[in-house]
Amino acid sequence: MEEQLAELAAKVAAMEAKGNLTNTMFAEAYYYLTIPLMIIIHAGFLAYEMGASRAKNALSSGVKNILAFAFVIPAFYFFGWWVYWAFPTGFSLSAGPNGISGAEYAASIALAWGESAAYMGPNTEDQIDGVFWGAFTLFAATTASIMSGAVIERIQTVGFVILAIILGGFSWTLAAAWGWHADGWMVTGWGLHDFGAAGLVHAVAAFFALGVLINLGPRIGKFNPDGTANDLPGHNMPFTATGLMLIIVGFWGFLMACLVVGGEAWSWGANYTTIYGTPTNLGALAFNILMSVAGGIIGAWVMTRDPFWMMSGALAGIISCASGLDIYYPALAFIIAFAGGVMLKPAAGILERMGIDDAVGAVTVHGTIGIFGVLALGVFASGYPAALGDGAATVSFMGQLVGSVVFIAIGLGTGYVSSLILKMVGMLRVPEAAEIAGLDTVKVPAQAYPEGIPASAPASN
Amino acid sequence: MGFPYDNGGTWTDVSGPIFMGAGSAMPGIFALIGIIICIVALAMGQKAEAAKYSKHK
Repeated sequence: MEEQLAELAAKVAAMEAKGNLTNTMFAEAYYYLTIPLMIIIHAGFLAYEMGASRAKNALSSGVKNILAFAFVIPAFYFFGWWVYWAFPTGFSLSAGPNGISGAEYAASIALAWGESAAYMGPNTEDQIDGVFWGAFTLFAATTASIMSGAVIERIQTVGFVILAIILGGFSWTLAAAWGWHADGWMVTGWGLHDFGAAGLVHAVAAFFALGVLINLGPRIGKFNPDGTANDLPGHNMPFTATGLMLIIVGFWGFLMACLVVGGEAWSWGANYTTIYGTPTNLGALAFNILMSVAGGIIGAWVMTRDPFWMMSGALAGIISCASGLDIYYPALAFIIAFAGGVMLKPAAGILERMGIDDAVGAVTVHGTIGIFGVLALGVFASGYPAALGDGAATVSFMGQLVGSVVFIAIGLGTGYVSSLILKMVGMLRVPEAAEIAGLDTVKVPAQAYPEGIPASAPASN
Repeated sequence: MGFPYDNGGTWTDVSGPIFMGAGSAMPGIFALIGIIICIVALAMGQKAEAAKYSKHK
């Protein structure tokens, strides 16, 4: 009998070990697959911004996107990941209540040198840090792409790359440390809930862009002497609309990466949770993302009938609901997204009347709508526990308002100051003659359309 | 740098970091070189870009 029990116990232990390994490999594969999905966001931004540029600037706009992607990755490896783990409790760099934050903890897991290098490279005992880092790196690169569209056709390339490094390596990461991390002071103290990063990615990046736009100024010809604005249409609307659709595809990966897979030592429990440890699942995302995409498109269609704004409306729909995609009822998500789609064009008009030339409406889509999304959750989810555990702070409008103000301050402040410094040293805006000639002619050793865009006749029978 | 495990040069029973330079100062040196590459690339890019703009002033 004892032998049989021992044999049974050994079999159970072996099955448990296999189950754990399978779960670990699933978690690893889950986050790994979010990375190429999020790279689709960058394919989308590339197409979107090249299409939204005039033909004379098409390639230089694309070069900007490619370089932002390339430089944000090492920036996030060398210091951005450390910022996320070091800053949750604020500038004191002290450890938070969960013991997974502060300068000491960050230095033990997130630096590419010393003992922590073991977690920053291939390690048979660590199957998760690499894919976590990869997913966060793509969040970082996304912020740079959000800023990128607003500044096309007149920003210097290297100046832009420096701004992308600051935004992707520090600004949004600081916001994520404060508003996403379980030890984040806005989470533990104010009950901030921003599941899908409407504020800490979208709004921070957009207000960073606004800070840059203030120093960068409008494109030549955008505004008349009396202050009225001219339309400077991009050279390829189908390319732009397709790019926007690719961005939306990629955001499924982005939001998928906002979940925490269950069953691991670092998980919050046995099942999926949000990054705050609160319950949700992929089903919640499927319901609410689809309904918010639909609501955003319809809202923008009602207001504009314009395919550019309709596709931007899809993005605005997702961003409107991003903070609460984990808990919204799908019909409510549809209504909020519809409102986001409706307010899109008028909000962009207000910005334009203030003399801001946001070439693709990034400040409106990601900034205005991002803040709307953070605040909307404060209205509808008030009273929900913001994080896991007894005594967790609850969601409130005031908490969401505090979060919104902080996100705006981080984005606008760092964007304005860094771009002002670049302006002072002559690295922000291209010379007037170069802008008029077209940036492809000035600095890109390739042609977008070497044969033009000929209209070919159909083949005869 | 060599194989980071002193176990007779076999993958058998290897557990932990397996990258080149594990447990030594090399990861830090690689990181430093990587950072320098980024900075130099940006500096060279800025120089080239400024030269292009100087022809369009």
